[in-house]
Amino acid sequence: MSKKTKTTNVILEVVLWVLSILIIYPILMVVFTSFKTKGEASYLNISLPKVWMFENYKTVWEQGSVLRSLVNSCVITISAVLIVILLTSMLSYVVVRRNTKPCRFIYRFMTFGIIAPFAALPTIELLKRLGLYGGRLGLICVYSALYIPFSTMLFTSFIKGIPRELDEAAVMDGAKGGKLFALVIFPLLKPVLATTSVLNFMWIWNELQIPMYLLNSSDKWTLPLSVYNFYGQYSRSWNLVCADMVLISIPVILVYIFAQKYIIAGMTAGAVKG
Amino acid sequence: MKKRGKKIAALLISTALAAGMLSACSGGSGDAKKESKKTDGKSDGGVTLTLYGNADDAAKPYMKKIFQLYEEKTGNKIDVQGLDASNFESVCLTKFQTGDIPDILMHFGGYSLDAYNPAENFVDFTDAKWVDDIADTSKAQTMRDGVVYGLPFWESSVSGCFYNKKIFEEQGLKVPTTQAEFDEVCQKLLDAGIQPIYMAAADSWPLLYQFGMDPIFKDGDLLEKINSNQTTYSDIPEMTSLLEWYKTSAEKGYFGKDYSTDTWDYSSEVLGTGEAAMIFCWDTWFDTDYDSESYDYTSDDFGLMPIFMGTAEEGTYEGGNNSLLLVNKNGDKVDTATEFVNFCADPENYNEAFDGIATTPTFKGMTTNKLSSQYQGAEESIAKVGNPSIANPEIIGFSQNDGGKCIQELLVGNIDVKECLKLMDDERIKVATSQNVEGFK
Amino acid sequence: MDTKKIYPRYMMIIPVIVFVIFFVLPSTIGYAYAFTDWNSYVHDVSFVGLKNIIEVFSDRTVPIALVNTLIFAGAKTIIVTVLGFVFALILNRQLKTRNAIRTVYFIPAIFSALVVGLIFSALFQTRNGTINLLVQMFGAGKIQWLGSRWTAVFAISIAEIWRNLGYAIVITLAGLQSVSPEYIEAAKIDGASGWALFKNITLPLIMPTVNVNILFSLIYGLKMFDLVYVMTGGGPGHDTETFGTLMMNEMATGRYAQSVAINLVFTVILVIVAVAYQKFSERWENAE
Repeated sequence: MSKKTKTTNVILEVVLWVLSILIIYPILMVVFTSFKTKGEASYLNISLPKVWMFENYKTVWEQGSVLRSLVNSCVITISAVLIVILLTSMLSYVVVRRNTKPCRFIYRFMTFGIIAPFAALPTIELLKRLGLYGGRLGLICVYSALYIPFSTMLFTSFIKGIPRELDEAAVMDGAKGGKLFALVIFPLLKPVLATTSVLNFMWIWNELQIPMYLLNSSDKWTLPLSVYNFYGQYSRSWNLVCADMVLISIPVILVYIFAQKYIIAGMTAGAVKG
Repeated sequence: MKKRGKKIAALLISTALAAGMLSACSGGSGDAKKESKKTDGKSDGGVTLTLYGNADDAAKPYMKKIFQLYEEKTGNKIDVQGLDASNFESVCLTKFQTGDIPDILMHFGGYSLDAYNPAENFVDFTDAKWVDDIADTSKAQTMRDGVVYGLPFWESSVSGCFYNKKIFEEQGLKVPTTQAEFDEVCQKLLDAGIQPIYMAAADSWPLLYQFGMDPIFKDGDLLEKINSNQTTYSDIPEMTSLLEWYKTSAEKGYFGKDYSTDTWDYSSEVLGTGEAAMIFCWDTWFDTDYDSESYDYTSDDFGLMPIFMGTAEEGTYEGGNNSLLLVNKNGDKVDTATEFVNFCADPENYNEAFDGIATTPTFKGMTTNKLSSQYQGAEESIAKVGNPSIANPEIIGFSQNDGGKCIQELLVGNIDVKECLKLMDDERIKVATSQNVEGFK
Repeated sequence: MDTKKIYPRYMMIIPVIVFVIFFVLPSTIGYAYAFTDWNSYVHDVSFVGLKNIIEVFSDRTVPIALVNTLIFAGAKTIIVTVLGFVFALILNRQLKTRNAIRTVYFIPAIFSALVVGLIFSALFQTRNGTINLLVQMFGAGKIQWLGSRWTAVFAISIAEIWRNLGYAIVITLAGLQSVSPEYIEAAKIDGASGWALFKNITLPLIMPTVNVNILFSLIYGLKMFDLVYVMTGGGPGHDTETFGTLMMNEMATGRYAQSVAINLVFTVILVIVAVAYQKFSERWENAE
């Protein structure tokens, strides 16, 4: 690195940290509020709690049945994310490589999936007919379908950048079809794989409405729904709402930190060395 | 390269498998649990009843208490699915339409219950033993078309204008008995630098304009006319004075400077610090939701007086709205669910659940409740000028939220009183028409 | 070479089947309700033709919602894409605390609209909100941010941008990883540097990703409702209504068919926007 680049980098780094106040400030508001008493929390602001109410987290943990919902959320989200990335990476790869008229149509068709809304009533009717209504499996199927379009578009845009010569070389070595995909292409997709997983994870994790429609007993409820225990119509306990929010967000942050390694991995590993 | 690829592929496939198994197992273990419960036979049965309700409503202390009592005494379980207020109706109605009807539904009485098609879906309780035990003030709300569908296992609140007694004393103010006196009180408070009324106009529903409408529609004739499209809000002069009251009060500063962005969330704070002296509210709110611990003024510092909104010269109070327990009559657990409702209606049980709860009795045999201090202080006046809740549950197409939005537009200055009434009529007629109500088709 | 064998059909068909069964099918059937009198009080649904659609076009709040929706989507798309791109480029450099900064910038994205709405309602609150305290520090009077149309639109846009910047950065970063260092090295050997390098090598290679970014921002921006719902409920009056909140309102009063009708009209608009954008971006990509 030249000296000039180094100086630029330092300056940019400082600028980014200064700007990050705009992000950290509101987040700290939530974190501090989660440790306040109800009265102190009535205005969300940055002031430190007078007394640190660690009990808030205990209250939330117990009243919100957090443990049970956490397990539900993990099972549902992880399964759906794995299905989505497996299906869409294959789909995008074939669509990009074949690049025929029907393939381009499929790609366009996906746009519809981003635009159209989730229609609760017909979905419930469908799941009932398939015997999947009310359980986690039905929810997983619906989530998988719901997030296919987004992931396909992301994968497609990325795969376009992978040189075709790679496939050709692999075919010479005798790989094709699933083998070619699993052994040659899939490993190259790491950055986009990590990105797509994180984004899908987050969206599915945070979904508030669909579980209410598709699950039929509160044992199966997901974690974000627990916020409604504290977010009432006539009185809101901001301290508990914030504590719940923090708890809900922690798993997603962990997933992001874990995935971050792979998001940049592509560059350092030299993606196209094959 | 190849090795690494294999590793990753293997890793991914195995995680996918594991997750698949995990989800399959957990689905399975749920069933297994249910079965084991059955075979365990803690008591004979151990049935789980599903209950849908608004999350807030289902979490009321007396509801929690009665669920707990029932579970302890019978060994059955109530699976309470509390849905948040903004999604409750749509989730619930969608599920009803697909035939996924819970064993028990918690829902308010009145016209809105018709959306659930009570005649076809709910058990007829007209001949139940407990019907005679229901307090007279609550009875009408349990019925549609002369049939009793639900048990009013709920608090009976009184809505009115709550005022800070200490501030009134300091300012030498008397509780007003007429509209003119009320306006005078507001003006004096304003002159003393105290915001007269906290009006959370940004949330739309706290405008609570139905309070002013009850006295107009207590005469059943007018109600019938508006519900058959023979008259409109615009034709009723009192409706004009109601809206003019909002407009002039806002302009004079009776709602403070920031009413257009004030939300209900801050009502405890603004009242508790004495920033504002009055609020339109209901007495049980002061008991269960008002935050007495954190502020200078506690809930006992507030008294209750009539609401003056330009429609009733001597003011008005609004009686309670009761949430009902309704039983799905086509469910396979209809007998157990009916037993649960009867359990709730047992004086011994409801008295235990409502022990110490501030409410007027919903049942004649209710003795353990306490009357809120506000209610006690205003009992005589309530008897004199109080009205049951009429506008909200009985006017077809009435929407607290939509109407509130029209008033927001009036206060912002987008429209005048006449246009506002027209808009409120349009919204109401729009809803009634799409419901194919006679006279609107 | 035989592409059919190399790229087998089943890899395409299984995902499409899942997508069609669990999403396309129910959603399409859902639209059919736009032509019925379905609502919470009608128990036998019957067809009413185009009545509901016509009603949508005569609704006085629809034009307001249209303008608001376009503003929200437009402001968000432009700002988020540009900022996301710039930040991603910076974060792709070898900064010492790169990972920490990336995490911080990503955190807003993981909050649900409920939390973000709550945070920004508090920040823009009139009585004690941070923004008003700042405004007062500079000697100006209190502003009722959420109390009138344009200030409310501004506040909501800020919240939406705050929440979405993280996505844009992450997606663009992923795109930047597909720019292989070999290309850059090769170009450097050819004497390209700085702006030329960026313009001729990096930009064309990540254009597909940026396009995806724009498309998402645009569509999700047009579909936006939850943040509005939490922050203003579409108010004051109907001043900050979007298509999404209009649908919610109709739903809440039990007018389901009307809600679906609004949705259908809206979908048509979205499809036109999306297809137009894709046509445009394809030409753009191919031209490079």
